[in-house]
Amino acid sequence: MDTIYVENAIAHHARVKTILTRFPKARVIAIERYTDVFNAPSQNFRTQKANPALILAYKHGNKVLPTPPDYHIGGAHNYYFSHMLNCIYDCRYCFLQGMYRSANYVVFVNYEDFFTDIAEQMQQHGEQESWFFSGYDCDSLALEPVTEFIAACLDQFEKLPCANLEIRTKSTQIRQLLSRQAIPNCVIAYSLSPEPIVAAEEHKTASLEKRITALKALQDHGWKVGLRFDPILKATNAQALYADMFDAVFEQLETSKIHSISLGPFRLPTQFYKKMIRLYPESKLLSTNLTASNNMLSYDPETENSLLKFCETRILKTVKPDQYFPCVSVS
Amino acid sequence: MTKPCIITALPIESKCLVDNYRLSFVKTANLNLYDGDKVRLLQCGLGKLSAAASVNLFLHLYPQTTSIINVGIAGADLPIGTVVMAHTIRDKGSNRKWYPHLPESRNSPKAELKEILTVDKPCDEYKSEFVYDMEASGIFSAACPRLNTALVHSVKVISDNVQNSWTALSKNKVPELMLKTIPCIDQLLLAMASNKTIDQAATTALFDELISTLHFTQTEQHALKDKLQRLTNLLDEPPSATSLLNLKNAKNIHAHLDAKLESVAPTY
Repeated sequence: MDTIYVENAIAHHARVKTILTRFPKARVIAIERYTDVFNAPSQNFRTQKANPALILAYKHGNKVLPTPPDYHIGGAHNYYFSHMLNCIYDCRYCFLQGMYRSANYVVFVNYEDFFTDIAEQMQQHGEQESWFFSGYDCDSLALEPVTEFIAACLDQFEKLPCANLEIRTKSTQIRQLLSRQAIPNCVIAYSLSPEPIVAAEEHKTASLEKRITALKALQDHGWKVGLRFDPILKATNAQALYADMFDAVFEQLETSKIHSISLGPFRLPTQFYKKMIRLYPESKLLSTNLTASNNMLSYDPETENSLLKFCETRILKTVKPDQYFPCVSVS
Repeated sequence: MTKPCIITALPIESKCLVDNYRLSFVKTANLNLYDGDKVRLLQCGLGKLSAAASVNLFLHLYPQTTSIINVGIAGADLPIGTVVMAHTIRDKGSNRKWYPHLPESRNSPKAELKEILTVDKPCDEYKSEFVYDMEASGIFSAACPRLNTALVHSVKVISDNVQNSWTALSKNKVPELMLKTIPCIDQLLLAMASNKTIDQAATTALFDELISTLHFTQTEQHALKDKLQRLTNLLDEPPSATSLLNLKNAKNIHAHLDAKLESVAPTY
C-alpha cells in the first residue's frame, strides 16, 4: 500500500494514526470526503487493481442494512455491514468489479458506530435472534492485520448473545481468531472453489488446501465454521472438479460440526456484467453464454440446475438437511 | 499511431522538450502540435479554456493517444526549480477536483506530490498547500472522459514564489527550469507504458475481414465483435475466417456463432 488518502475529519483519529504507522513509506494525501476519490469518474478498476490505494474514511448514515431476501442461513432477521469497501483479492466473477468505479480500498475507522447500530438493530427484535453478515462488500479477514476490525467486532458480539455474526472470507489470516476463545454466536464462513478454479479465477487468494487447513484449525479451536460454495461455475469438467473439492473438504473437516453450508449459482446484475466484460474482454469465465432474467444474468436454467443438483446431492450425502442452505431452489 | 502526449501551455515551455524528444512541427488545423518517434507534444495555449479546447480537438483527431502529461511552470511556496507532480487538481472557479491514480512508488518520479490549483489569472498568492497554475483543470476536464485517471498526470516546475514574483520571471529562465522536468516526464512515461493492454489483434483482424466482405448492420457488427471475442477466449483461438465466410451472410454467421457459444465452456 503506497498511497493512502485520509479524510480531513479523521486525520487525528487514533485508528488512523495506528494504520498509518504500519505504512511509514506511504504517500499520505488529505481529502475532504472519501467519495471524492472513490466515486470519481474516469477511473479504471483493472488498472487500479494492480496498485490500489487505501482510503481511510468516516462512515456516515446507515451502517447496517437488511440483506437481500435469499441471503440468510436460517435466521429470520438478517443484516449486513461493511467496514471496508473492496477486496484485496481479484476474483474474476466478483460483482464488486462491476459495482464500484474504483479498485481502491476504503476502510471506515468509526468501528464503534457500526457496533452501536448493530446493537440497536438487535434490540428491535427483542429475544429473537438476528444475524449480521460481514464480508459482503469486502473480505472480512483479508486486511485484518491492518484494520483489526474483526477483533474489535468479536469483543462486541461477545456481549450480544441474541446477535449472530457471520465472518465471510477466503483469507487464512486467522492468527487473531486462534489466539482467543471461540464465541458461540459467530460463524467463520469460507468461500470455497475447486483448486483449478481458484488458480484460474480467484487471483491472489489462498489455495483451497490452505483454506481447508484454516477451517480445520478453526474447527479444532472451537469456532463454528460455515462453507460457502458460491458461485458454482460452468466448466467442461465441472462434475470432476466439484467432486474432488467436496471429497477434499469433507474428508478433513468434522462434518457433523459444520454450522452451515450454502450453495449458490453464478449470477450477476446485467449492468455489472457489462462493465466487467469491458474491463476483462479476454476472460473465459465472462465469455460463457449467460441468460438474462429480471436484470440478472446467469447460466441457462438447465445448466444451472444440473450443476446445483450435482453439488446438492453430494452435499446432502454428507451433512444433514438442517445444515444446508441453498441460495436458490434446486429442482 | 498510439503514443503518449506531453501538453505545455506556451512556446517558451515547449522549446526544450521539443529539442529533447526530437519533435517536429506538424501542420494541423488549429493545433500547435509536434510529433516524434515516441511522443507528441501539444502546445495548448494560455489558460484553462484554451487548454480544454485544444485537448478536446487533439483527442478527437488522435483518439489512440495512450496517456497525457501536462508539464509547465507554476507558482508555489517552494524553492524555484522544485519539480512537483499532482496528487490532486482543483479548479479554483468551480472547486471541481481530479485525483490522478499515482503509479507505484517504486516506478514514480522523484518529485514532491502537491495539489495543483488552477486559477483564471496569474496571482501572487502562495498558500503552502497549493501549486498554482492556469491550465491543469482544463486539460483534465477534456482528457479524463477519454483516458482514465491513471493515464493523465500533471508535472510542474516552480518558477515563482513569494520572494520571486511571476512578474519578474525572466523568459530566459523558463527553458532552464523546464529542463528539470525531463527526468520526471521520462519516469512517468515509463510507468504509464507498463499498463498492459489486451491483445485483441486476432479477433479484430477476423472482424475486419468479415465486415469488409459481407454486409452487417451496425447492431450486427457490435454483436459480431462481442461473439468473436468471447468465442476466441473460450476456444483459445479465433474461429476460422474461411468457414465463417462460407456461411454467406450475417444471419447465418450469427446463428453459427450462437450455437458454438452455447456448446462451449471453459475447462479448468
